[in-house]
Amino acid sequence: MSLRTKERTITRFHFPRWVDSLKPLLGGGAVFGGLYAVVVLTFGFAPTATDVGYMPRQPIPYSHALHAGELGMDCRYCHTTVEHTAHAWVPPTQTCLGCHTNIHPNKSTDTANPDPKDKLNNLLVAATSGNPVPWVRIHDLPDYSYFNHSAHVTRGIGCASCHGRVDRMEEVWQQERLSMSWCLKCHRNPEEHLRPLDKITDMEWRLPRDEQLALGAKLREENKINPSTDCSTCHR
Amino acid sequence: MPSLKPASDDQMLWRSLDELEGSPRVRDWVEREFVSYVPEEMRSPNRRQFLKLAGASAALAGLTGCRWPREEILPHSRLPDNRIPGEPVLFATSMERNGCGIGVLATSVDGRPIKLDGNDLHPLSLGKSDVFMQAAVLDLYDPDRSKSPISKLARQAANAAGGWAEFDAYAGPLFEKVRAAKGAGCLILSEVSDSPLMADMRKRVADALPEAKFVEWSPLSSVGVSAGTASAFGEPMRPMADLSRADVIVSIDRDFLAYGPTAIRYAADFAKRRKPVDGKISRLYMADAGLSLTGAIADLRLKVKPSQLAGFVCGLIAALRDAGVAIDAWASDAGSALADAAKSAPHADAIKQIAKDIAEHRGHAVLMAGAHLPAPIHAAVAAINAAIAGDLVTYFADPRKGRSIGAEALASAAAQLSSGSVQTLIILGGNPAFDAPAELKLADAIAKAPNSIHLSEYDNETSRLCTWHCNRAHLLEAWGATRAFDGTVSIVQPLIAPLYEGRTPAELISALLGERGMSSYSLTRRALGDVGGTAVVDDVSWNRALHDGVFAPGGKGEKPSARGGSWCGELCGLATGAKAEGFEIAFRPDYRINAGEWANNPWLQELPEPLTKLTWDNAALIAPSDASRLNVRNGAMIRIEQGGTNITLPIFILPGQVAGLITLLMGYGRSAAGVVGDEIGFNVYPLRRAESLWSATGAKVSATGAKHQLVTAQDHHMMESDVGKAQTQKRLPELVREYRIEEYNDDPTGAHHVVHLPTLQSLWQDPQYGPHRWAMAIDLGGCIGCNACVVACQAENNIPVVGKQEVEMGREMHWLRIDRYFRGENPEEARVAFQPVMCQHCELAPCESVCPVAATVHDSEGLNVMVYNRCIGTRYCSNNCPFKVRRFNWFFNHHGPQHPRSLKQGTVGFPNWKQPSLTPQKLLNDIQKMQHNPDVTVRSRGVMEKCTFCIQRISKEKIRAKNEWVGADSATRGETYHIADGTITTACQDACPTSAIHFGDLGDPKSAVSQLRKDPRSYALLAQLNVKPRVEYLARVTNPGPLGGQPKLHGSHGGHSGGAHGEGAGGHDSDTHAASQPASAH
Repeated sequence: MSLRTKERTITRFHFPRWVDSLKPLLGGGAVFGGLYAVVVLTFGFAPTATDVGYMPRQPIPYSHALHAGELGMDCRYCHTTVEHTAHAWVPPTQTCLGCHTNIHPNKSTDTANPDPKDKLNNLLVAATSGNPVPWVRIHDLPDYSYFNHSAHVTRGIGCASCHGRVDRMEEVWQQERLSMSWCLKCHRNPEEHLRPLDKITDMEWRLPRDEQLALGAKLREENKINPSTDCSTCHR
Repeated sequence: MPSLKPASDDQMLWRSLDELEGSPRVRDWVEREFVSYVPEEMRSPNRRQFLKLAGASAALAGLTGCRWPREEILPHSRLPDNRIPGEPVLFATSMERNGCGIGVLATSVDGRPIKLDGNDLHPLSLGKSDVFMQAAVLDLYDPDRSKSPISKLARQAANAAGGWAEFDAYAGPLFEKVRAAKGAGCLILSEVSDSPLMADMRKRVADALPEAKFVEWSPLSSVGVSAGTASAFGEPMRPMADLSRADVIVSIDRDFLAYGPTAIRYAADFAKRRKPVDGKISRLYMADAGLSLTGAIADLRLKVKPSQLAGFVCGLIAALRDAGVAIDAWASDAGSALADAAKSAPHADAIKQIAKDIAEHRGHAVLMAGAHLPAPIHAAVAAINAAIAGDLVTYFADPRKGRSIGAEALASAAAQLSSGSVQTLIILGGNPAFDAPAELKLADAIAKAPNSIHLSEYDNETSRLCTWHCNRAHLLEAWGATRAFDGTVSIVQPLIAPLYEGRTPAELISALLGERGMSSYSLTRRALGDVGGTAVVDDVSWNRALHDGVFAPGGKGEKPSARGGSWCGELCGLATGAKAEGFEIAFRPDYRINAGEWANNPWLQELPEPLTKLTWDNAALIAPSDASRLNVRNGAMIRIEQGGTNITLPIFILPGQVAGLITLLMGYGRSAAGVVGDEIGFNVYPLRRAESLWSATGAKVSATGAKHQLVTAQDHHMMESDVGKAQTQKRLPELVREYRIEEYNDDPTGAHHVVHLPTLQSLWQDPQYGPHRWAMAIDLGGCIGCNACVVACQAENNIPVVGKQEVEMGREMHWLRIDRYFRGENPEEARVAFQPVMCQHCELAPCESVCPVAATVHDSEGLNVMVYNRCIGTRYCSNNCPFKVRRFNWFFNHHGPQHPRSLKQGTVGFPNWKQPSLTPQKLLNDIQKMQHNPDVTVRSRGVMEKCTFCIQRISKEKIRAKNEWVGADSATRGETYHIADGTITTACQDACPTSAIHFGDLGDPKSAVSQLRKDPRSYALLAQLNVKPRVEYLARVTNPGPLGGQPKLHGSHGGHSGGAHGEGAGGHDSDTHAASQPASAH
């Protein structure tokens, strides 16, 4: 049957006969599609794929490789609260200015009329306006997990254990998965990561595995490090 | 099986009249875990709804793989001193209650105040709080707060433009004219405030504008105490009793535990004498006109009508004289009139006994009278106290001396307004158009003033009558000062810059006086400079005062010498002149919204009223006998006619209410409170007139035949299972245990003998715990039912409000509830028992064994933790919880009051309530979110939640202690870290004015909780289930004395010697007392 209009005739579309021969493939297609979906979801959306390597562009091209690496500044020079509170804060603008009032790569110290090409431009703009620098959060835990920096760094977990070799990163990226299984791995076997308390911010510090395990076990015993794997440890 | 002895009539417990009558509705509540659960929204969805749901699911599925939204870290440019991101900072400030100051400690995180608690250095708060202090922080972030000044013209033009610049342009010339006229034609109507700042401003107004009138009015202000003490001592004074040393307390309709500026202090002092020490506790007699919280926990409550109170006092004076306590020197002008008046006193026998009791405890007995009572009663109380109280009652100077306060002053102001002689009216705070005595018709009078300005946090009923409404700064936004009841001066300091540029009353007055550039800070500093004695207080002492929260201590008070006075004759006149016809009416401030000023606070609106457990409503409280006489049931509308006016409102039948008396709860029925408070409840102010501010006689009551939906939580979360009334009656006394001091002295373990248990065996292995075992002990002897803990928990743990229609279905979210039971077979004479119940953190928790996804599990310290992310919402746990303490998020409840499914819809007439919207729910706005505690997860739809023992506070302290220990010198730091007892407190514990809640570590044998669990009064709820709760209760001990009848020594312990108990398998020898199951045995 066909429908007639003023302009043209539309005939109902019929699949050609040979399409029927594809029918047996449908089952296989469904199985393959299912597997494909599982694989994509499992690996494609896993933290290793989505989070690790996350390196957003920051408003100021601040280089950890320069400051923490080349210049050898201690992490705590800027992240001062890391040993005392849950948050290892990002320093206020005035901390940057502590040095950068005098040290200025492009030698232009005119803060009132900064050069737009200057790497420090946004810093100087923020300092003049009093508005915060909008840093982008890289290590972002879900809001229902409560991580406490002080509980880790005061007991022998080094910065590098979770953040990687920040001293070699021009722009910081996320090195570890920060997934719950990743957290639990260390909570169950802290020996693998415990280090002497004076080496916490030492990015270079590293021992061969058997020495690390021996030292870790000793430190664990000494400081009674028994990390809990209770839900309530991180979730409230 | 536990062996149970039928409870005697006296021990009979019930929660509502419906339960007492065995109503099928209550049975339904008990039988069904989720009452009225009708998933309308899921039933036969139409195509459109289906597409919406399908679309939402698809959108969510697409989101799961992506990284969550990009977040920014915004550090300060220059860091404020002592500010560490994410760390709470405490600031001392203070707030006013009935014009008197109470010390507050405010917690601020990242510049956001999130919680208020009492300041332990302040004598009137002692670190404790009440519902209003806890709820005040929510008002700060209320989206309904007025955000800018607005003029009547702008309002009429429906163009809401307005602002401080426009207001200043209007007020500048106006104020100049006022100054030029030396204040002639200017009336300032302020809410009552004893603040030294306002005192200073009043003085400056009097100096600069001598013709201006300054009148103060608050609906709860009362002049009785001032006038009474003036008549007794020649000077108005403020009496304050030291209840921590009182053996006998007689309250003449004084709700001293729950109402007024001294309530927190009195509750704390009172509770100190309610734990048996050397076999003694204090004794509280209460002549209660209505059923008050103080009456509810009194050892002996005497029901008295308001008109009989004067007679009661006369009777007491006469009886005291008979008992040898002479106050004749005071009552010299009375003579035979007193004897006549005494004859009309109700409860003659009881009065005789009370007088005898007082005489025996001379020097340690105290009489207190309600602030609302007339002056002669206060004069009499002062006279009696001089004879009986020793040094327990001290007097402080009354800062209200010489001020125009109260209904009389307001009446003259209203007359002035009506006559048209007022050109400029300035109203500072309050809401006089709503709450002034009805016959003054103040709303009409205000509208007559050609220029009127109302400074208020909300654009309320009064604001809408005025030429200009100005937005006022919140308590936490501006500087100020308060004077406490005992004269202690405190500073009010801002914790946040005004969100909407609000100003303070002092700033407005300053503008009126033409002072330039005075901020609330400079005004406060100037006023307190005068208080401090020097012209300017130096910065060191100022900072000290800011830190401590006490600027100038109040002193010890004095004992003025008495003089005669004519009060006795007046008292007798009051007593004999009382008319007894028709119904009597008593006006009572509401325990939730006081006189109406808290009406827009959803935490308080949803709070179950302590006695009726009503939420989102008020009602006329009447006695069961009156209700059956009128043939009405709960929720029936009645018309009350009195003094030529009438109001119509629903009734609530309150067991224990005085027959022939109707108690009306004030503050409801607002029309311009805000989204939350509008149109909720019924306005009773139209009946309230200057001569009947607190009570009235001769009311006619008739049922209209209409019905109103009252929602009460009294039958919610019942712990008894469906075992029928008789079994329930056996079980309830096991839950709420109470015995008399005589019984306690005879056998302190008496509370355990309520139930005998066979040897308890467990299906489960006892778990092993780490060094800490957190536990709680709650002293029922201390619980006064005030609800402070409930709101504190709500503030601390981000607990949402669900609205009236959801509460009706038993879906309120409070993690902590206070069960209110009535005791006794006769509802007319019912006594009241309170019991706070939260998650009991059972060691063998029944909820855990039924969860299919292990969303509720034990941690190594014995806390029963709830993992929100695992929860799939089966609600099996709640079903299996014997204590009914789990709460399910039926909706995403944090949508805020503006959401259509939210409060307003649920309150009036239930429009469209059966079709909850499926549209995405509007979230709280950014300002509202600022109240949230950042340390507690905000729960989403479809998950279960419950009390966590404030696990965020435990974690914080544990981390701090461990950090300190690991960092300390290994030679001296000791074996392991140590958490001192008392360093971790729960929010409910902090709030409790009577310190009834104790929290601590059972792993520390010296902790208060470990000690209290060894107390013979300590028992666990439903111990026969062997779930080993971590919460234990200390049975309440009462002391009614001879008037309470003969104590049943061994009364509830029948059959002990005969070995006749225990129909169960366990023999006598293996019997274990339920409550003495030592949890410390692990």
